[in-house]
Amino acid sequence: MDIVSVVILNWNRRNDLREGLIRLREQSYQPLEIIVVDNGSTDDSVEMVKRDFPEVHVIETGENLGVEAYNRGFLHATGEYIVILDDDSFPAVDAIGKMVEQFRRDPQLGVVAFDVRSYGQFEEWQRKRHEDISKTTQAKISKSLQEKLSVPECDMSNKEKLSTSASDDTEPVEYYMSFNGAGAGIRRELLNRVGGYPGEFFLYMNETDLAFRIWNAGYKIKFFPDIVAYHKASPTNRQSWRAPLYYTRNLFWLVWKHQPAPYVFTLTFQLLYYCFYFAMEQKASVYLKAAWAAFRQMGMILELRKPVQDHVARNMRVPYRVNFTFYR
Amino acid sequence: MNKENKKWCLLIRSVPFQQLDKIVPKVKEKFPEVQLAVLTHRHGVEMASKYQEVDEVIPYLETGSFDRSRLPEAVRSRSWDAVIAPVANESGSGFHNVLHCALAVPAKQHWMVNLPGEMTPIQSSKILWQTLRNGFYAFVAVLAASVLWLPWVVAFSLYPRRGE
Repeated sequence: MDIVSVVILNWNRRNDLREGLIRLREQSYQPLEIIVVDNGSTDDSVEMVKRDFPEVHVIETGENLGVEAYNRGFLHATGEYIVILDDDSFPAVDAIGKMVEQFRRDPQLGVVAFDVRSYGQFEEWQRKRHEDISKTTQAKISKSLQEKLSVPECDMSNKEKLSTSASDDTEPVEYYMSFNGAGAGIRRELLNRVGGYPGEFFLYMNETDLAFRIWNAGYKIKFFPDIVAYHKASPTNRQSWRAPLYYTRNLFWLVWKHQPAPYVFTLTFQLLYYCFYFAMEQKASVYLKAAWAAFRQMGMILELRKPVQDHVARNMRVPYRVNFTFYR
Repeated sequence: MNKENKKWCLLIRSVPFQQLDKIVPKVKEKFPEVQLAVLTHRHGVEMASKYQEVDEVIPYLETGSFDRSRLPEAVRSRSWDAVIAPVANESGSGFHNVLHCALAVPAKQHWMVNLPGEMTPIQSSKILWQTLRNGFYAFVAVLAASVLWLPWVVAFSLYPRRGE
């Protein structure tokens, strides 16, 4: 069995981290190498992990490095594949096993993007599992539980729900996608080749930056609806001023780092337009501050510029506009 | 499935599924008697089908943002009891096209549900006013972006870059 490394970034979320580590112990796939990178927490997260989870490797950065801290964990990982998690997310019980199957099936698959669902979905799954166990005789438990465990929280026999008016035209759209950093698997060899998260971003859009490099290296990122992770984070966190500031600044940087001409010119104009438009519509100056922050450090970003191949630039799906709609 | 005799509610999938996870139970709570249909881009069909509360998934066949002139026939040809347009913030800012789409669907009630989960009726007069106001904002934004973009193009072009 291939070793799978799990890298979790923690910052002051002791209780959520604890639950995530408990869920990882319940994983059907083993062996796992679990690495917690602590980003200078001031709660007792580190002590808790060392005391209650002695099998976990802890890396302490001593200060909040943002997403750069993930790279410390990636360097430490020895597994064939790496699962990336937040301190408030964890995979469904069968997710890592299914991820390994997908990687083995397709050598060009660089990232397995998990279906990251809200924590409420996990609680619902637990409730249903409990009900099933209560209703079923001991002899039946094994089969029932296995069936449930193989398809967490969902009823996949739903093909009949698809509207018949368009059921013949539902082939997946061909575009290049990014992934959600609260639940994803990546080949370690690929990560070594293309590099980890962009430390200069600090927070947000780091997955998309990595996604550009992965597609450009000839690997795929694919989403699997049956490989599930649960995430506690509330989207209301995005209503803090920090989110639109980092999102917007990093969108400029993403474009300047990766987009070849002529896309770099048109997308920069588009982003400037969004900054002004949404600043007026939402009465929020944070977008203009973010644009200023991006322009101020343009020299540093252009040093890192490596335009991607044309097919990547054309097909990469980056939700530029959506990032301006989280704030107000 | 007899669509004629049942009450149907259409939910436009305009927000991430993590938010939809919270909206779907709320919609069923507010409209307990209705069947629930979800209109989603093709990449979301499989995920939308996973909800036990969802009775029908209607694919939106375009790849761009929701556009009222491109709504599928499966939506336009039916009479709905309610249409719900979720937005990923408090105000609905940036979701003007989705609210427009909702109003273009023939239904008895049109609702917006925001990030905290508050449901408010969509009023056509308010949408009309926002259309006019946003048109003005767009005009100003184009001018302002042009003023900054031109010097940026010069600076970017002059900057020495390796490998290009």
